[in-house]
Amino acid sequence: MIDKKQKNKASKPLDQSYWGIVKRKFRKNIPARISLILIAFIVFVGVFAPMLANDRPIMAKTTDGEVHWPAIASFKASWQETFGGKSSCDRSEACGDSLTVCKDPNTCDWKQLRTDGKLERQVWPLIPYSPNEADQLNVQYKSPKCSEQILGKNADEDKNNPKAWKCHQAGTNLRGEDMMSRLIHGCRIAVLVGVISMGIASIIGILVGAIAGYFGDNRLKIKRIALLLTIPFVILLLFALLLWLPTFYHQKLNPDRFSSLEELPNGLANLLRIVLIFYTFFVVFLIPNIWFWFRNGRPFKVFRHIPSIQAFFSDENHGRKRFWWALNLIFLLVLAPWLASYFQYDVNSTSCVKTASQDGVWANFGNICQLSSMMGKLKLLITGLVVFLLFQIPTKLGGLIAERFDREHWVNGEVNIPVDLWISRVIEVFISIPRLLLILAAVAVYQSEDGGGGILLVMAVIGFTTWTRIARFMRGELLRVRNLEFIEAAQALGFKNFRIILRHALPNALTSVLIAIAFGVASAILIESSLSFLGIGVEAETATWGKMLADSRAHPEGWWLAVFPGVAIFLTVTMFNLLGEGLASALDPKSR
Amino acid sequence: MIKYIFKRLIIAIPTLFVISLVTFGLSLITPGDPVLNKVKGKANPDGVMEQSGGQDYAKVSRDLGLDRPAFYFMLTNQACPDTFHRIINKRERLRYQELIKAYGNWDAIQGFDKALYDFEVATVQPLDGAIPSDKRNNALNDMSTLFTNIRTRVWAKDFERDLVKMDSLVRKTSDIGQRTTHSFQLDLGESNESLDSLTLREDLSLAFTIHRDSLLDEVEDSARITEAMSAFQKEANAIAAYCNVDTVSLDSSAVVVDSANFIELSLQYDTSFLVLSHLDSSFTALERAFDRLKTESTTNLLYKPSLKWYGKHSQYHTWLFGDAPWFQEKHVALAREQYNNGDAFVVNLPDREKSYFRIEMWERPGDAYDQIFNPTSIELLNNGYFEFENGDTINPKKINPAVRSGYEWKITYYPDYLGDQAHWGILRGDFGTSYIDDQKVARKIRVALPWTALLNILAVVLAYFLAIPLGVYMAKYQGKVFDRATTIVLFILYSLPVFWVGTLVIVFFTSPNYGAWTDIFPVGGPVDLRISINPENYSVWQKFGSTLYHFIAPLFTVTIGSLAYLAIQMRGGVINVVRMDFIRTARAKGLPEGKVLWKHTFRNSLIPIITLFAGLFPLMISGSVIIEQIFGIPGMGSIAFQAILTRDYPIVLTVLMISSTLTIIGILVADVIYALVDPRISFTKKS
Repeated sequence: MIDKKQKNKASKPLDQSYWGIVKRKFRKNIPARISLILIAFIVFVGVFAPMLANDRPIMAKTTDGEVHWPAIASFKASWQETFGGKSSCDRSEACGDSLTVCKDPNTCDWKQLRTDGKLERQVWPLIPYSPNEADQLNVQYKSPKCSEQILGKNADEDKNNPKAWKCHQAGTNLRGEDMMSRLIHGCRIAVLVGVISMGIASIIGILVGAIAGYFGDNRLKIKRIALLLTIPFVILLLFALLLWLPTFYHQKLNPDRFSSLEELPNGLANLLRIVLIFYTFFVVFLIPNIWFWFRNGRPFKVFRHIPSIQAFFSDENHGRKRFWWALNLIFLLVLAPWLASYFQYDVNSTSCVKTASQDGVWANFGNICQLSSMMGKLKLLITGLVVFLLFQIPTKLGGLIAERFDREHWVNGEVNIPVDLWISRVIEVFISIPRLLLILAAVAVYQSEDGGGGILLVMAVIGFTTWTRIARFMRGELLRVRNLEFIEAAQALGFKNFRIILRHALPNALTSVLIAIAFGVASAILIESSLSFLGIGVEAETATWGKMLADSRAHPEGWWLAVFPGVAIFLTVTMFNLLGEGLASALDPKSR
Repeated sequence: MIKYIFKRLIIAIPTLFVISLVTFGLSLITPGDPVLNKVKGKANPDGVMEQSGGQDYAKVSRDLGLDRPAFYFMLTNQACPDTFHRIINKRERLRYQELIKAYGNWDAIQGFDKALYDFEVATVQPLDGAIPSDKRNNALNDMSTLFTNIRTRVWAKDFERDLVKMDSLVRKTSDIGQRTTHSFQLDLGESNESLDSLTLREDLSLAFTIHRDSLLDEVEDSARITEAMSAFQKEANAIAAYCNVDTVSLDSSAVVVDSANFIELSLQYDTSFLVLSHLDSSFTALERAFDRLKTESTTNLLYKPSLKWYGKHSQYHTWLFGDAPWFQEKHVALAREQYNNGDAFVVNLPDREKSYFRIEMWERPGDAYDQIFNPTSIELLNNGYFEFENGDTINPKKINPAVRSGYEWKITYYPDYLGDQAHWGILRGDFGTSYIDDQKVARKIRVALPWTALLNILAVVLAYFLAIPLGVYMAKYQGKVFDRATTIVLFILYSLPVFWVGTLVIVFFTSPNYGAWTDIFPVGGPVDLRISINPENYSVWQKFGSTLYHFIAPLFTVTIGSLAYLAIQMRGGVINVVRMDFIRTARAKGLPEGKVLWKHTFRNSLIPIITLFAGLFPLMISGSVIIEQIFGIPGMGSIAFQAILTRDYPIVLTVLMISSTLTIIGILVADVIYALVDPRISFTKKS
């Protein structure tokens, strides 16, 4: 025994690096490990919810000999539904006598087929009910008594306890919807809210906190002339954002512009789209390439550099610049009009050419209304160029003036900008407003009139209001890190500030933010469930734990309505809290 | 120290300013129109004001202060007119914004809209002397749908589509305005006085009336008219034969010769079935205005920025500071006494010609100011403001005949007229009026605040009283079974969602569903129902006892979470302090363990707990939204939540502002106590 241990030690020396120690410490923390496993389980359940609880079989072989995989086929549709897409499952068309009548397996009532004996072989999910499927036999809060329902053999008992095909392990609610299925599908909402809202919050929080912490109150110094020149530029930018871009996009929606395209056949529209894609490619890749060729005498091999991001960012080849150029242009050419298409005025449908592929998330992508006119494209390009050139004005002009008036103090004197002070004030503002009230008000404001704002809205609002915690963590950490030697070394080497922040300071400060994120996920899940508990935010038909809990207040006899979703929320929140605690103790260098 | 506090207070001012901007901005972008809701609720539940300049709408929006520009300044384009905010109807304002963005020519847009309005007025006006026609009514109906359509359009192309339809309605037919008269003359021969002829006349008239109705229905179709005429002729002939009259000739061109010998039945009808021709001129004007809109669009103006300055006349300024003057001549109460019938007050102000008086009267002497809501009070009329000239007599009986002797009255003289409704601004304690029920927000909050305060203060006190000893003892027995078990329990309690605990309490302990003993707690509300119905019949102690009984469940729910958190923090604080050298010294001195624990350790470990107190403030107010919703307590969280749901923004803004201010104060207080408790912390800079 002892020999074996020694052997192990000899063959595998203990990793004494920071992360090695952290890993070992985390492994020792049993609650944190268990919670990590449970979180993985919850994520798994959330992702594969339609395979676990669905009213369609996973596999079904009909008497005709056809093999279908309906639950797996509905996987994509269920994700679309989660994000507010239209449900593709319409059960209004009853399945006919044979499966050949039922052309689309998505719209088929498979349970009917099963009772009719149309299925030769079938594999059903664990819970053969969908979250919104009303089991007519078990409406009005049926308790989770599986045994009674299955054993109920005589007719009287059947009348009182109508038999379900498979028992409802967690009971049903008013409409006869299976609670277990709802719980499983609620997992997805909880996990998504945690991940996406914390994603938003950590992006904002890390950036803002890093800037505040790294520069502090006394490290960001700008030449006076640059500051002076920035003021008109900021005003210009304000005009651009508030005035010109909205007006421009509004004018783009004018149907008169597209009058000539009205009668375009579909084929031609597709052709136009292909031309556009090539055009984009041309603008994004070819023009910078040719430019590079002219300047350096050799072509820049775009594709050689794509796999290595390092090469893209390296100073050699000016790859970084071109990368940002390309990003800019991609945004201007593709994303901006696409985004704008969501804010369009309700243009009468006849003024647009509708193409076949116009449903789903990408409905407006490449819509002929938005992306058709070459002229519009060119104008966009010109806007982009103008904005880019406007960006150049203050720096170039500042450089010129600074060269000319080299000795003058009013030009070259440096102004200190107390970034930390301002950012701390902003954080204070956010902290001072009661968070739940702010979120409630914001969600209520942006909610559409029919009461549904979608889960995305809730996530965004939670993300945009909870970033302050992460920012504070980040700020504190960077205030510590910025005085360490390696940062000073990087500064001495003459690296630019943002490079130091991104590549030297952030990686060394991120560990502590992980803790804040773990706790943040817990609180985001808690906030979302309290929002849906209050009946705000998520659409009516989406199954969430908070909403299930709210249902229970109407029917106090049904203990299962109150207990199961509550346990789910409690467990998930506790898991994330435990994970946070575990991370905190593992990452703390003091505790060994 | 005082300098530090002062500095912190100074810093808090811009923070509060930004908070007010954020919350106010939130209220501006709310969808829906509060004025419209209010007008709808007031006048007729289903009738929506169609006309833009409706009196009610204008008045309500002026009362709410929504006819003002939103902020001190606005950054817009030059196409937007200066007085854009004067378009009081929110729906219309949004429409005009779209139109401006599309055409950029305000004059042309206005011209078009005016022409549209004139045209609509012309269609609505009744046509003199016109014979009613279904077809015309249908046309008018079509027209009115076209009007609603055209008001949702923005682009010229879409306008054109509607205008073409209108054109087809107005100018479709060429035979406009022909009026045709058919006279049916009946030659009755000589037997004009006979019984037969009289019967004939009656029968014929009857037959004619029947036919006339059907003829009028068919006026559009000349073939059908001929058919109907011949049918009538046949019938008339049959009647004549029956009555022994030789011939009945129906001749539309015959001239009436002698009324004694003829029965004249005349039928007049309009052959122009689109009788909207009278609209031609106003429609032409509309078309001209549309042409102007199309050709004279100045979209280039849209790209030219312009900064519009509104100054103090903005909604934001009014909301914050009010529009009543700050340093006005103080208003003076001129009389306050019992009112006897016939009493009057003679205005005698030597240096003024005209002044404004606010007359308040209360039914019961000594009543609080709340009595202004009493309908018998004069206050409701004209908001209590009356204008009198010097030498006038103020006679309350004249203003409100319901006034009786024994009223208490007060006349206040205001040097400056404050408008229909003067706003004093939240800085001067005027939180505005609720959009929903017209109550003063301050009053609503005054009613709601005690519940929240009572619940939360009790909860905090309870949590601290339980958590501090618990934490200390946990630290004392650190590592023992008691400590480990309690830590796990506290961790679980901390992770319990408040709304779940509340729901569980409601589900399991408010009804006898799970055994008779589970019916422990009352269901909802802050007091018993019978007490809230008849508050006079119960003593203060009974009410207080009832409230306490009702508060057990919510208190339990609120306390659990904060108790766990506080106890864990307290334990950590004590453990940190116990390690320190001065504790070792105290023990070495031979002090008893109790003294070491409570005198030396305890005081020094209080710091984390104190900082938490600041954090509890916002948690208390926002957390109480859920608690109050679950347990039906009409507190701050409850009214804030209701206000958010109904988009009653004065209340939301007030609650947000109050709680933000409290949070800032809480942080400041915590910092100050921090320094007081721990002598090592000081805020004065050491040189």
